[in-house]
Amino acid sequence: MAPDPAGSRWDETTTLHGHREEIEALQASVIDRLEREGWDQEARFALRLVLEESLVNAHVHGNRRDLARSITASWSLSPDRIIVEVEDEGGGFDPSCVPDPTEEHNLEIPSGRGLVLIRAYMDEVSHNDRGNRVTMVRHRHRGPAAS
Amino acid sequence: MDKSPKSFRSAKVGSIHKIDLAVPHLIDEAQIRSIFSELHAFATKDAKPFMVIDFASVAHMSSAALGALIKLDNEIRPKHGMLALSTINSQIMTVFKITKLDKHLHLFATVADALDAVKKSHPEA
Repeated sequence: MAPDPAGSRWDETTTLHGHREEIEALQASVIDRLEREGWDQEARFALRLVLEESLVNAHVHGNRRDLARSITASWSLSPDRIIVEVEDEGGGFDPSCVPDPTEEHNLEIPSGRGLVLIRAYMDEVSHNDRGNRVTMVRHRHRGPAAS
Repeated sequence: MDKSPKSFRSAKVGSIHKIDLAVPHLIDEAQIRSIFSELHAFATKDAKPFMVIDFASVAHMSSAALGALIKLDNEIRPKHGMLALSTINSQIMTVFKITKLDKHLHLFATVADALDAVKKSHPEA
């Protein structure tokens, strides 16, 4: 990877607009790198899913499917962890107000599981105050996703 | 004429719709909508729908696919039918467990097990 003259903490920063091919290109870039660095299949499955869920959330809920609005996705890989950050141009949301879809009385509701999956597959998940940027960290050595 | 490869194959076993998904990634919202609109049509047409969906070819799925499965189950359950899912790989099974849908939906190791379970609980199927 080319050195970053600006000294960015990220290995790659991409601007997307929610098109399927953009999401798949970013997933391929991250997964290929994980594979080259010897990360196991469970981790690659997790990152593909987490990128899918966070980017689709940003497009659908953040940017309200407006293809003119941007999503900024950044990631950085070190020997022991990967950090992914996704930011949309929406007004943000309060993650504590999202109903828990794993509660018995919510199991029949078809939406709202993306955040649950992100939290299960990543070790650290945080949002900025506005709620339009999510930062996610997964350590290389960890147990399987909590279920 | 649509020359795109079919995303699933369907067959009838008695009155059970046996669906073999033929996509490795059940992720893209548009594709999921297209597949499940056809499956909904089966469920809407039958007075008491029975369906087995086999996941043997599916390596990845997203929460959008989980949502589509729940909508389909919500269509079938009130009509006293049954939706059963089979041959789910271990990584996708983890997704079902995380979301606790392994307790809500009917999951089976093989297609034969799923068909047997539907027939056992609904001999008319």
